[in-house]
Amino acid sequence: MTPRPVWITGVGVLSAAGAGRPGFEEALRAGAVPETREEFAGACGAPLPVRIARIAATDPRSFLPAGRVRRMGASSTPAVLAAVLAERDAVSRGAHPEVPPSRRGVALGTGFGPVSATGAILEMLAREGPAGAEPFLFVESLHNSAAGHAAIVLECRGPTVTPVQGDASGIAAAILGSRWIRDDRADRVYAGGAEELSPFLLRILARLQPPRRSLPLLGEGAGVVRLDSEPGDRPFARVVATAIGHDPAAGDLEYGSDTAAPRRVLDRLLREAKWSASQVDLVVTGENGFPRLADLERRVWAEWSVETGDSLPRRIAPANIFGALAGSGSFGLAAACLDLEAGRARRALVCIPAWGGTCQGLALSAVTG
Amino acid sequence: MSLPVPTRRIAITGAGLLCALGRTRRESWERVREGTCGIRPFRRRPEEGYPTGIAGEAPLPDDRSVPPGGRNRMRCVSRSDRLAIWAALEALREAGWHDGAHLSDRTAGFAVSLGSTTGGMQEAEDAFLEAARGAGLCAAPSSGFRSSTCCHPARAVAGWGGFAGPCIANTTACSSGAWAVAIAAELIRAGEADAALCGGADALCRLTLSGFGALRLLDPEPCRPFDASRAGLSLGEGAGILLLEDWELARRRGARVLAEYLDYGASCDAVHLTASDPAGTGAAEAVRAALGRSGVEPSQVDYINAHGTGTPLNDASEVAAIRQVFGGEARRIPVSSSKSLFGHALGAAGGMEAVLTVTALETQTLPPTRGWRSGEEGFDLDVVPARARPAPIRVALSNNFGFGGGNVTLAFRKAA
Repeated sequence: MTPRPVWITGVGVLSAAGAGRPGFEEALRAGAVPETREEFAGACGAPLPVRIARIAATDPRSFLPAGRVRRMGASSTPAVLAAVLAERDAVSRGAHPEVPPSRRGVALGTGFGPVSATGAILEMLAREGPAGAEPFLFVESLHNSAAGHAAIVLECRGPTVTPVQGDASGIAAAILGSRWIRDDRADRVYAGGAEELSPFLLRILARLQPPRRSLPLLGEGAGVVRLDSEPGDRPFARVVATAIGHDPAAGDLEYGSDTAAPRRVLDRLLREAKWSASQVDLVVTGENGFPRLADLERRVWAEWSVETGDSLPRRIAPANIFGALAGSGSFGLAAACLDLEAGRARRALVCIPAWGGTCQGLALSAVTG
Repeated sequence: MSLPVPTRRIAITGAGLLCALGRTRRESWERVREGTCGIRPFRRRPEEGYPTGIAGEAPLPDDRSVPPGGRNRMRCVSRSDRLAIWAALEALREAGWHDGAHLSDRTAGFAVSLGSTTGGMQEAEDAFLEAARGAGLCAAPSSGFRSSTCCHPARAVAGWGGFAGPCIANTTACSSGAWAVAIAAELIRAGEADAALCGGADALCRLTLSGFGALRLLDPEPCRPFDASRAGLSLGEGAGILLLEDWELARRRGARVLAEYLDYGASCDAVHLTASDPAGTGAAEAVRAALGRSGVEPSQVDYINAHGTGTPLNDASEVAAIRQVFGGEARRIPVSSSKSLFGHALGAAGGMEAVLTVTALETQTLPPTRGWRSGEEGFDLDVVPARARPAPIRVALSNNFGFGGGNVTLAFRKAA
């Protein structure tokens, strides 16, 4: 069976820079987004200040019917809005063949899931006991509730899945979605990731920090791309290869230290894309201010440089701008799409090592590449 | 539209099951054959006031019997992780891989793909409630939070075995385990792994006990799928893990093949977050896609392991789906629900039921539906009531449908 091409035809982002592509592009150019500073109890109760890039105020009713908004929890809403933004973006970029609902899929990943709903239930259980559970909160505490809402809103009756791959869950979703199209299981997939920074999650993250260790800028938000089997009038890019790696020695909620997993991902991407290392002119990394990941990435690219004998391609790390966790890796994919469309790159690798030891990779080529 | 049939064949060479019926697949299967009900008074019930006193509680083996290489790993893992590791160990042993030491030269070719709905939620709840009782978050054990994520069972298995191939977790409600099998098979077919441990693991926790109670979906008695008087589901826990291998590699190393994995079909109802489509349209689409992708005609299907939760709406929807796809053939095909035996283990259900479906093919025996007395009008299916019975099974399907509207059907064939 001949694999089918996979096109990226729409990009939807909801971040500290606002809803949609213009704010996102502006933040990438400026290299910063608005941030707040909040304080939590760190190890041994010592105060730990945390810089947070929260989603800019957005009225979901500008994008969705009020009735649908009422049925969605705070955790689901950003991912669904990002999917709707990706759809609108694709539609604004010209004509596309009609795709029946049974051939439309949804892959929306998340690392921590709907933590605010889970936290609210646990607080009720602590306060009122088992009788305190609310049906709405319980349903919204399921990681795949966002994917379920998105499927209803966008009438997707094809495959629907929620991968959980640390802060690269959005890339994992794009990988699975690309494979559905490649293997003829769907013609259109809304794929991406979301992460929320509820006080509940922040309290836990602060609690888990070793003494005297600060946290880098943390971000929330959602990013979704629309993948299609047909390019339509103006696609952003083409997905030409996908790869998944894993470092089994990585600790809980920690980045791995072995370069083998990212190297295997990069090798597979190049092999599958039939590219040489020197042809790659853009790399999107996962770097996000966590020292352990910075060290891993530094060593990966040093090895790449030595082994290929090539100078390093241009590297960008959107997580350094929008905050660690934001979009669960999907902002890196969105940033690569924009560079490829604008002609700033022709062949891009997205390689995101994530907490828990996973590493997710995509090779993207410019439309004319 | 005719769909292509994948060419790289996939063998199932090992299977592990840990559920309310037993600590191993063999032990559990004996009780499945007898129609034993594992849904009993809940011994580990955390506090009073939960809406049900019964559940399919899984017995955990003693950690001291874990091979030495992995024993340290068992210290800082959640109950879901333990369930997953034990089932994985059984699958590896069955396949002749024994333990981590034998895998040292193959670890990069081993993938792990697991589904879980709540991961280590039970331990996170313990830590949180301890903090809420006055000690504060600072004093709560950090391990309770560290191992709480839904990707943790997959990571725990990969870490325990040192598997450096792709490791992927999903949490797609009750279809998570089935999705994990489908994803693992794709990894092998794409050449990213030679073999994969796949399935699901989930432990009972307060969140699901109270949540399903709040939704009024729990039957106070052990569930009775497809019965006219069914009144809801029974929760359970466990892990079910298959070892998939590239067919040629399995043959070359002389592995015993339990069954063949064919393909999967997936769809979404896209109607409601918790209620299934009464017409069963989405579920029927998943079954049709599984058959089409597998190159199997409805007449070749000899058994369906149903999602069969025991809720009035779910079962009606599934029966409608089966009738849509199989028409007059539906009466010929035995359809049974394993949830009547060990409860609904949520993210683990797809893995556990896939293991039973494979065992049915291996032993040419139909697992029963327990608690069924009479079908309501329109439910004219053979639900294999009460006890297992021998039957020739060529192709078997395993259905899993979940909250969020997701439907997955896995197709398996008798080893040949």
